Amino acid sequence: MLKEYFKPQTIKEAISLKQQYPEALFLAGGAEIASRQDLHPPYLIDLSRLPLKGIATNAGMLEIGALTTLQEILEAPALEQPALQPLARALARISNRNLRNQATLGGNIATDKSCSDLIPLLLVYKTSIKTFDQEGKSNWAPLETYRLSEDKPLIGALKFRIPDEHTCIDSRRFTRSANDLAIVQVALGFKRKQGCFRYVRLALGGVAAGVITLPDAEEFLEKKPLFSLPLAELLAVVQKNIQPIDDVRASADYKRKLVNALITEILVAALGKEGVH
Amino acid sequence: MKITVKLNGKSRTFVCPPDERVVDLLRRHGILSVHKGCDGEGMCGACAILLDGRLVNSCLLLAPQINGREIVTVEGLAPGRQLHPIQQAFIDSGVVQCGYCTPAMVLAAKELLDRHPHPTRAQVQDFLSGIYCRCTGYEQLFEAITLASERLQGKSATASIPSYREDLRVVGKASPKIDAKKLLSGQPAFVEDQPAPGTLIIKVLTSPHAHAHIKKIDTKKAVALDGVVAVYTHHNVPQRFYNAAGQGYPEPSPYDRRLIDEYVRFVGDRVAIVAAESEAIAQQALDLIKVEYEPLPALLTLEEAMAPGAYPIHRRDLKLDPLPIGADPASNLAASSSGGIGDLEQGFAQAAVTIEREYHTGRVHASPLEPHICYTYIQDDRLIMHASIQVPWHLRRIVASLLGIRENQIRVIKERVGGGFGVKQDIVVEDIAAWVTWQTGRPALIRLTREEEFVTTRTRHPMKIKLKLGAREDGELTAMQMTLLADTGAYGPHCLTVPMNACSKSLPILRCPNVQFEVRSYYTNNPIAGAYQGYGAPQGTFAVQMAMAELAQALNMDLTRLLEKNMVRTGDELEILKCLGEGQEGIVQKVSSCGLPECLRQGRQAIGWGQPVESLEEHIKIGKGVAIIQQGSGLPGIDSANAEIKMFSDGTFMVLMGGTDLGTGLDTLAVKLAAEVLCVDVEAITILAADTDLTPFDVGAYASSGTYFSGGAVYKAAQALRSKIIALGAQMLQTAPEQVQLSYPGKVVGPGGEVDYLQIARQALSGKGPGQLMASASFTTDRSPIPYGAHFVQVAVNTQTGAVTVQRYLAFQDCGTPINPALALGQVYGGIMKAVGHSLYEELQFDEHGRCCNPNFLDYKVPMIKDLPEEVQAHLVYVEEALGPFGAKSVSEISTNGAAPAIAAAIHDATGVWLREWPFTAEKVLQALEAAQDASASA
Repeated sequence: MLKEYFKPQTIKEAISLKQQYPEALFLAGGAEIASRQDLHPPYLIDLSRLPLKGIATNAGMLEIGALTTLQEILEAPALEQPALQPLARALARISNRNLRNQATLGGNIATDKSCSDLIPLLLVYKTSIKTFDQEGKSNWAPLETYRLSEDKPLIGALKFRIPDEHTCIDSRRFTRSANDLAIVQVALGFKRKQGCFRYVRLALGGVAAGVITLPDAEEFLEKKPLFSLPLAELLAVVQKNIQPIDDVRASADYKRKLVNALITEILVAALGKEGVH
Repeated sequence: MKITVKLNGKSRTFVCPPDERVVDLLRRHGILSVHKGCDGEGMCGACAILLDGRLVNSCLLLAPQINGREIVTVEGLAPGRQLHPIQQAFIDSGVVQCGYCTPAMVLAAKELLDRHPHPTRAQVQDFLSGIYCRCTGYEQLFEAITLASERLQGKSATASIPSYREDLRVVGKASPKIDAKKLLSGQPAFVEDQPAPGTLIIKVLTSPHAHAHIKKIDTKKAVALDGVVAVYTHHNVPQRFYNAAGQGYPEPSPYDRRLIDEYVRFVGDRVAIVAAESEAIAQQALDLIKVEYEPLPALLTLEEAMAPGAYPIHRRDLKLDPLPIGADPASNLAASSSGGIGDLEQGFAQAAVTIEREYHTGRVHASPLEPHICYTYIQDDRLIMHASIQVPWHLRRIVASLLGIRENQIRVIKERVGGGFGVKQDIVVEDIAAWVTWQTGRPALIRLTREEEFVTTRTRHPMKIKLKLGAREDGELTAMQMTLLADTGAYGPHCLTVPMNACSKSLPILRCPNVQFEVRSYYTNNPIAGAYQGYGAPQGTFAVQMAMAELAQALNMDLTRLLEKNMVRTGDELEILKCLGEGQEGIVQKVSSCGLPECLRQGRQAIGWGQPVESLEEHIKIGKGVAIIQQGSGLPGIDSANAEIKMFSDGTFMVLMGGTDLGTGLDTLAVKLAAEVLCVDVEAITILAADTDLTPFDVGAYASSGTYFSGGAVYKAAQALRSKIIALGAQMLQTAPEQVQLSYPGKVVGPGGEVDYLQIARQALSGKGPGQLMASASFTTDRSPIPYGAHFVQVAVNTQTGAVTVQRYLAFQDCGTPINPALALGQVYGGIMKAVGHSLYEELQFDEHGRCCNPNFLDYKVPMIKDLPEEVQAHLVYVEEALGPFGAKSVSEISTNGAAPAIAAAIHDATGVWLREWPFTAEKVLQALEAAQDASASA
């Protein structure tokens, strides 16, 4: 039973409300909270009046306010640049539009689902998250750090460096129908440097309790020559590091196969068929 | 709390609890265009509103979130009773069917056209991506939006709807669906728009066990709860057995259920009924009911149910059944039948090639956007029922018998139906509402949640079908044998007739002298199977057409040539139908018209049959497939329909029709038939239909009977009224009736002059006239025209993921004269997409205890607009037909029959792999591909 609904005007006010009512939930777009029949928060703190909206590029960085809706991000002129196309594609794949019109980036990150369409890609972009501490002071930290934190602080924004032209970033997902949560998500990023893979990032969704990165696989690829990639070995390393489960959407075995298929697809798209063996 | 919003241009202040969903708030304040199609998970979009110009789901918004913001719904798109150009374009394009999702679609189009005045196909798909529509198959929405876009640019564009029958004025031409405006503008239309304040809310406690005996049930706490008005269990309801299938009496279905039984036979079966002052109280009361179950063996597969010595799910007196249906409850056999023509053994002996295959079909749900709902109250000491039902008269009969009262004490009013598709052919919730109101005297409402809709209503029958075919070397069929097992679930509504229809709508499409079939339907502890568009024909056609495709491969023959060689033609006698009746002997039919040759010819050309399509990627394989299909037009010798037409005092008309419009456009069709016969515009005719007090009897909307039977009755009544108008007109012109004729618009013309309908009506009603001109007619028949079609598809199979993409879907369908071409096409598109759904991803899944694992739209995937094939076309192939009104045949159900076999044939063409079980999920396709690879590697 909802006892009280707060609509603070300032970040400071929002944080102090949360301190005063620890059981309160922050409400951004509200799509997740309203759709969860199992959630019955006694207090809600509606963030919509806080100045946490907008998209800006500055000194090679892309910064997005936490309350920006997924659709607003998708429509931002900044997303037209080639290096951000993978993000635009991932956003556009999120069916359906009604949800994109309501759901916010901050809400998506705070919800942190294994099937998230964005988190694997944001991890590959090496995203930092701005959060506010108890005093209302802001603080930037890597997305991974935020995800590991126990008491999820208020998210203000995220930012990442817009990749240069030597960096390949891409993501794929698999769903049963267009308007479906992803069964498996794969995001991969690397820099082409002197004919080799460098700064490899690989993140997967749907194959563990939450989105995971795969340091073993990243390390395996690191410094491997770009055009004689030992795909089978890479996939073997990946397979060792995932624990998908059977559910109504697909069997664990099939999810494993999807991971291989999607990684292969990304690599073929990035390197050409000849580059992948 | 208090919130202020700008609603449709006006500032409004509402008092509401802070956690009230906006959809509830709006409905509470008279905005009826927002509907709830899911359980608030935001997966259906029927509640969508424009919030500050953006389309969002109002079920996912809490009231305080909209404080200070601007909301637009269809009620506010145009001033007064006017329509916005987008609403008008939807009407003119014929894209309104049941209308439950249409307001949301219009708002999506509004946001789209505000942002992109000339949208691309992809933009249309994206803006409409969150709204589920089961009726239309989405395709005609593109045209509606293009039309709106052009008109908003100031162009005077018209919809391009094909036209048929130059010799007719109204029939075969585009005309607006007569209830479209009401559905598009938020006028009260559905059952949920009716309840008065103070209506009791009914909730049902359902069984958590697949099979159990209720040892003890304690309702004391629930009864004592403040606000609870009544609690019913098997202890205080009538223990009379009945059948819930809405079929003509005597029904070919078993009397195997009670209102509430002391045995529960599936997870979701009724345990107790609570009626309370609010939903929250009713829900709370359910939690207070203590039930002690004694679990019984749960039989969750056909094999378990059929096993010798299996626990009998039903022990009942077969004498209760009105017709013998080949049941043996002791061995869980719910119904059975067999028969055939010719000499099967001899037929196989003549064959050069024989194949024998088995095909399986999964459990799918019709999933109308509006769930089952019924509103009842007492008026003039009678029971009034507002129902969303396909069978108002069967409902009245069944409820009367259940309550032990006479039929004149009940009135059933069929409201607009938010999608039926067969699942509303049964008495699923109406018996409960009727019981509560009849006992308490209070108005009562029952409305299922989406989860209840999935689990407790009806599903398509899962089937296992064995097909054995024999053919000569040149492909001529010599023998066909079909052996069918069906899982009817916990009860047996339609347990004989659906499996029979699987045979009678799939076998007679092929000429073969030696045919045998055997059907057996078994009780299991699964959800109840029942009617769903196609009524067994999708399963039967899947098996027969797949077997033909596999036979073509065995004969090394082109599939379309094999089909052409064996398919029926106009004039053929369908002898097999004699033994494929519905619980009684069937009637041999002569094929009155058959468009198959033309459908195949056009389809082959359009798809480029025989021309391989090269894939640009190695792991994507492309293939083509085809299936030929048929259905029927009602049940000759069983169905009956009635209609009346009367002339008003200004020469306009009122049609009173028993026929039930489910959103399919039957009311519009009836008006068009009458307008054609009576030589007036459709606007001169009003219709009132499916009200058991006011309109004459009709069996209801099922078995594709609407056009032929209900339409046939209206046609006959119009002809009879026409004769009366002619007689009076001739009298007024002082000439003989043979000397005059009806002429448009609404006049009688003789050699010496003319009188119009206004004059005729005034004369009729004057003291010197014959009285009000009216006529009634009944339609029964032993003939029924069969619609035919050919569906062609092209698929791309991803051999790394197993994903199947339908690239092209081309449907060629013969429905005789399409009375209303846009709505007929909409039926075809809708049928196609339902069948694409069950072919590729739709399937109810269950755990080892018989609990459904995916009873929601998050997990049970239904096709949305982005799931459309890249190209989908439906073509109505005209054939001359003598039986139906103006040569019309049925059109609705048949289109669900083609997708599964055509897609499977195309998958085989692409990959060499046969998928013999629907749905062909990516996972199953990949497994089959890997198995084939392993087999060829080891060979």
